[in-house]
Amino acid sequence: MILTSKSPTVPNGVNRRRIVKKLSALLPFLALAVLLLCTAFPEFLAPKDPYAQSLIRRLKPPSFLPGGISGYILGTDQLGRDILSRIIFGARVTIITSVLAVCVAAVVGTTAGLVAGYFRGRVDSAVVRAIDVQLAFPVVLLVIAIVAVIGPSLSNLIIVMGLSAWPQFARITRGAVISVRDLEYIEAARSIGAGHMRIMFRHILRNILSSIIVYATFEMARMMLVEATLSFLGLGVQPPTPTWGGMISDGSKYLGLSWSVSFFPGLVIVLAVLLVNDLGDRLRDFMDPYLKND
Amino acid sequence: MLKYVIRRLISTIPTLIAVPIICFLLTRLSGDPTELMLPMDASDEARTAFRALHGLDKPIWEQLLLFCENAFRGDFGMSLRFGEPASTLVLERLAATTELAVASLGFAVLLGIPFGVIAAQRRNSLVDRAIRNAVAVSQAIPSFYLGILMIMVFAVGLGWLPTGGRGEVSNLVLPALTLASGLVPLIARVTRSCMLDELRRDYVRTARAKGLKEYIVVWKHSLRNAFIPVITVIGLQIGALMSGVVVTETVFAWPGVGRLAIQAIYARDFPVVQAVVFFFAIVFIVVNILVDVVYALMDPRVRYQ
Repeated sequence: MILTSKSPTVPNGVNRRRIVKKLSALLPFLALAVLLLCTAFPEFLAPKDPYAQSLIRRLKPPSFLPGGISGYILGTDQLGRDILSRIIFGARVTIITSVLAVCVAAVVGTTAGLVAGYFRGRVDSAVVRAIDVQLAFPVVLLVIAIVAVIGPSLSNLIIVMGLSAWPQFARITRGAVISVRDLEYIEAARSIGAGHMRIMFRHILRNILSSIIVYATFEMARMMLVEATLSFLGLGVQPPTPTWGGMISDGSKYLGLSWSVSFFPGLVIVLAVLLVNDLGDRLRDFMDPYLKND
Repeated sequence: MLKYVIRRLISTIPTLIAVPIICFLLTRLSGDPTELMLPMDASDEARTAFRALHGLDKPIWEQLLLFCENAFRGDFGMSLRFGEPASTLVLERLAATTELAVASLGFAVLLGIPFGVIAAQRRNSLVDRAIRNAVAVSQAIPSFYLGILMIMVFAVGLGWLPTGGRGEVSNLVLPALTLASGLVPLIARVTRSCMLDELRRDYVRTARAKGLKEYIVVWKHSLRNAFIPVITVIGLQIGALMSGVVVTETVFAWPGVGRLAIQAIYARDFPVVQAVVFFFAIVFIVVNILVDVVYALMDPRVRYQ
């Protein structure tokens, strides 16, 4: 605002600046659309077959650098597969596991928090104990160990990652429930004969849903990092299915020969997580302007 | 104070009970631990002998009690890969992990606090904005990726530092920086916001009014009061630090407990996995108690809540 009011005499400059500003505000949504398209239709977006190997074009640099082959825009990996296509196909594993894991965590955690905060008493102290116990564990190590025991299938990953994150949801929900459970509108609902279930899920949950959704967005970013870490350690979805973490791990064995195999998938992870976090910030500002941080 | 410490110790009892139970359940998740630990082509006699040796033929609650009893004595059985007691293997690698953790905490504090103070002194300056962006990026970058980027630049590209291993001080720099990377911006941010609060206080005005030099007002009087939340943040990050240790040690081939855990997982050496999970959980609990006690020592209000 300060910038635009400084130069009112140059309408052209002002306009250009405003256009740039508006366009840059659209950028995250554009990026999100690309990410979702990669998740849904990688076949149509990937320039090459992500599984096609070739011994003669192994570890080639990106096509815009000397030594690159045209058509292989980000170069090839240790088996001669196209890195860009593998990144596009890799979006699916990361997005699906993290979205569904957050859903598991949100459903389990929110329900537990609702019940605990609404009924208080014994149920409440049991839930609080369970939260405390789980938060006392270095969770990533536990997730790694559990996945190693029960096997790294997609559904196992989703369940274990989801269950590792429920306490935070339960905590937030419980706190929110306790702060609204004695308000007049709950009493009003009870006085017209609404049952516990109706009050919990229809009146209380709806009132605190926005903060849960905002938190879920940030949690999704964290889940994407956990998924990448598991894939990097070889405990994610198994090869030959491309995963971003797995690609970084592949490349880390050939750092002396080619930097691009690890570099680009990692860059994509960083950008994707930044994007989701930014989305969370926007959601928070949109849903609750009072929560804006400084 | 003593009352507070005792109350704090009592509140950890449920967790202390849960830790060995979770470690025990870990190998029971897939049903039969024999399937998990013996090779696929093991004969039936070998399976029976294995069950008898490890007490797997007893009722499950008896096994659980035995496991808990042994766990608190530090006995997790023999490593299937090394033939040594699992707890010995963990203890042997403890020094390396401690070295790494202490070095990275040192980096994090030595870099994070000055950055935070400077950002608070010069609000909206370049440093301030840089820190704000660094927080966002450091939360988005997986530690293993940062480690690999550092190897690419400083080890492979410039050849200044070794790619991994342990021994010289130069071996320590990259893994410690990688592990510290998430903490530095976090500490800086907390220091900044606390310093902003403190610099508005009356005692700061008094100190300035009596002619104290500005750097003493900022770095001594205000910073001392801003320390408490910083310690809390470090305490809260211990869990993340331990998870970071597992990954960072793997990337840099650092011979510590985290790398032992990953290797044990690959080798399906579950007594060692159980020992590491148990050990990390206990360390985590102890560190959290220590943080709370330090917190109560520094801020008497905490004790009376």
